[in-house]
Amino acid sequence: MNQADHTNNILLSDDLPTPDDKRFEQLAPSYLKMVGLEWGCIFAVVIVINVAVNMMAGNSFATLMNEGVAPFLLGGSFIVLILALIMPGLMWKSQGYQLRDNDVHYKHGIIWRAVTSLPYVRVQHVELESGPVERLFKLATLKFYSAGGGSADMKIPGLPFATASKIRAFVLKQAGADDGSDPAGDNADE
Amino acid sequence: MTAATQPGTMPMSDAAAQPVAGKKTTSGLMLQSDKWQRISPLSILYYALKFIMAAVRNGVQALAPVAAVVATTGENRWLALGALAAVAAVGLLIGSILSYLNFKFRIDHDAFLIRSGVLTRKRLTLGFDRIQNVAFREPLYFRPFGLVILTLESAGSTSEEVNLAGIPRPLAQTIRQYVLDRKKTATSSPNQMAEHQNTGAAAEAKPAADLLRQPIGELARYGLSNNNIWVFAGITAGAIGQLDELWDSAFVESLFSGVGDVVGTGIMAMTTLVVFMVLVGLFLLMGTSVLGAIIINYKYHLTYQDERYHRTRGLFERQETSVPEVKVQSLKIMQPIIARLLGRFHLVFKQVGFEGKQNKGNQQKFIIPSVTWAFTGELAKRLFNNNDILGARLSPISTKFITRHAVFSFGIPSLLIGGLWTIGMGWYGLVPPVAVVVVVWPFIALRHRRYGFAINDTHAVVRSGLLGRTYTVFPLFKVQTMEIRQSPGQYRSGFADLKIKLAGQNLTIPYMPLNDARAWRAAAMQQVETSDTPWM
Repeated sequence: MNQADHTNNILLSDDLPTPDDKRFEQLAPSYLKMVGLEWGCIFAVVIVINVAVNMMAGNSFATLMNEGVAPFLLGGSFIVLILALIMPGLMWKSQGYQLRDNDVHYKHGIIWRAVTSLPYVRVQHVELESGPVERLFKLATLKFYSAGGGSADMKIPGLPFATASKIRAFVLKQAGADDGSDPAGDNADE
Repeated sequence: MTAATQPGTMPMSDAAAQPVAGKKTTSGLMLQSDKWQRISPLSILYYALKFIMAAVRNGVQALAPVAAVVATTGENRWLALGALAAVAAVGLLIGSILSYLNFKFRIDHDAFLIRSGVLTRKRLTLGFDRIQNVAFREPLYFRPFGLVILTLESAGSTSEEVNLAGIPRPLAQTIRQYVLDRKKTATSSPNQMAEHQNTGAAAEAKPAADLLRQPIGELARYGLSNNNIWVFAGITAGAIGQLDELWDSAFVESLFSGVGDVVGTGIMAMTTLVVFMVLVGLFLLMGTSVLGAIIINYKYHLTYQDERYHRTRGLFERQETSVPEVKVQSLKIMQPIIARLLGRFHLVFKQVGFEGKQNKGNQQKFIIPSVTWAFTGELAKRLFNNNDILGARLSPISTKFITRHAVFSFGIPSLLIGGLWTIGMGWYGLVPPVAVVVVVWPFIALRHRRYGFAINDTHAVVRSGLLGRTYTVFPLFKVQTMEIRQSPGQYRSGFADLKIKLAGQNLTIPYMPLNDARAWRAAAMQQVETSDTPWM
């Protein structure tokens, strides 16, 4: 490959002449449900612990009210409830990925928006991970690793099984395309 | 082989299928053989020293048995201690001898095979393509016998590092040449490889370029100006602070009262005394640092040959390290504040490595101490295909960086913390947080001014620092990943933080214009995806 034939078209989207940060593919809708469930659980746990602690301390609602603690407790629960309601949607909306001929991009972050970019030729290995909750929703997380770092350089959550393995196969194929330039690591034995 | 013979690439398996180049080397030593080879018996000494060093490093734990003996024996204390020492010595000797006997190595095609270990047997296959550095060390006790320690550093982890302690220097040189040649032929086309086999060892006819020899004066400058001095000072100060018992002891008390008798107890006298002591401490630190720099870097000699940099240094233990040009991920140019006064820069060839990796000592860092800006520029050109990125004008980052950190990193936290403390103080409670911001403001402004970035078609440079300065120069095609991140404020004003991940380190350019960040990303991606130069 030399510089003259370098093309870098958007692969899974419409024909775009230039890469555009706004054209990202959404994560699976069931991922929204999964995140919603997780936040709901967090909310439930907070409430349950609150109630349990107060019951054990023998405080009735009336005494809490009188001591002026209740507003804080209620306020706290209310904030967690609001977060539990809006966070999953915001999170889901903020995340997305873009596969191109030669690189993959992943955007995330509600307040701090970030876009991570990884060229396929720098991918050392790819991990497909699916935890118990993810399996319940038939989802998987793709982890991409490049050189010289312990943790994954890019994690794309909320992908349906089939999509995730399709992407993994594609990325590995692209990563191995000019393997000659980097014989290290891939077929070395431990 | 010259630089021109690097265009094609071929898969590893094909290269391995080719007949092996030259079975017997010029020095008549067997390189390729089915027989396992041993290192010199003198390596027993090396292992013994290694064990002792490990024991010293473990310090307190290693002394625990001794303490136990002392505590439990009473009358026969010395006898018991003597017995213990004898047992330790015998154990050391046996351990060292067994280590020597159990260490065997051989070279098979394109891999190093090692067997080692006394209690836990270890077999290691280290492929040449994974060898990052081939380094020699020549300790004092090996010098009369012409032996060296050959260290093979792998790109992976330290557990794959191999030390061949005590092999003759010619053999070490042959191995190094062989390893580097094999690495190269593995990435050359078959034709060139055949050609290489024909010409054999004569291929490295190109003379070495003599780049740098550092006299003691320069090494002293390095000792004075490198940042290790402050790290060391911090550790020392911490250690002294820990010695509560010492400060409370009658000794210190009597010392101070004694001094008080001599110089008087007035504020002036005491202040002078403290200043004097601090100066003495500083002087001692600098002296130690200079001495250390000279011992480690004595007769520093840097050469370039055959697409790799070669360094020799050291007073007691001569070290020879080679770094292939392609392995250098970036050039780090450091100028701490004192180096600035001396007009010098310290350079580091950054290689693939994990952050926070243990045992990644000075020895492995390829430092070029105390050089001028002119030398730096020339070295950068040599390293980066004659690219003059260092001559480029650096763009500043946005001044919003200053307000952001003044408000969010210092203002609001100190307001929150201060708010708790100063609840009863009314409006005066605002004074401490404001004071904090006023004090840190110049430093944030200074940090802002140090940031700078420049890019051309193939290379980029990032500058950062506070009092000193650090430049990082890297070829765009060595970038691993990039991230553009925007806070809500940056999103509104069109700025972004750009995080660049190289194989050896991470760089961040805060508050650069979003369009610049995007241009950097596009340029880097384009370079990575079109370049067929191996990046490591």
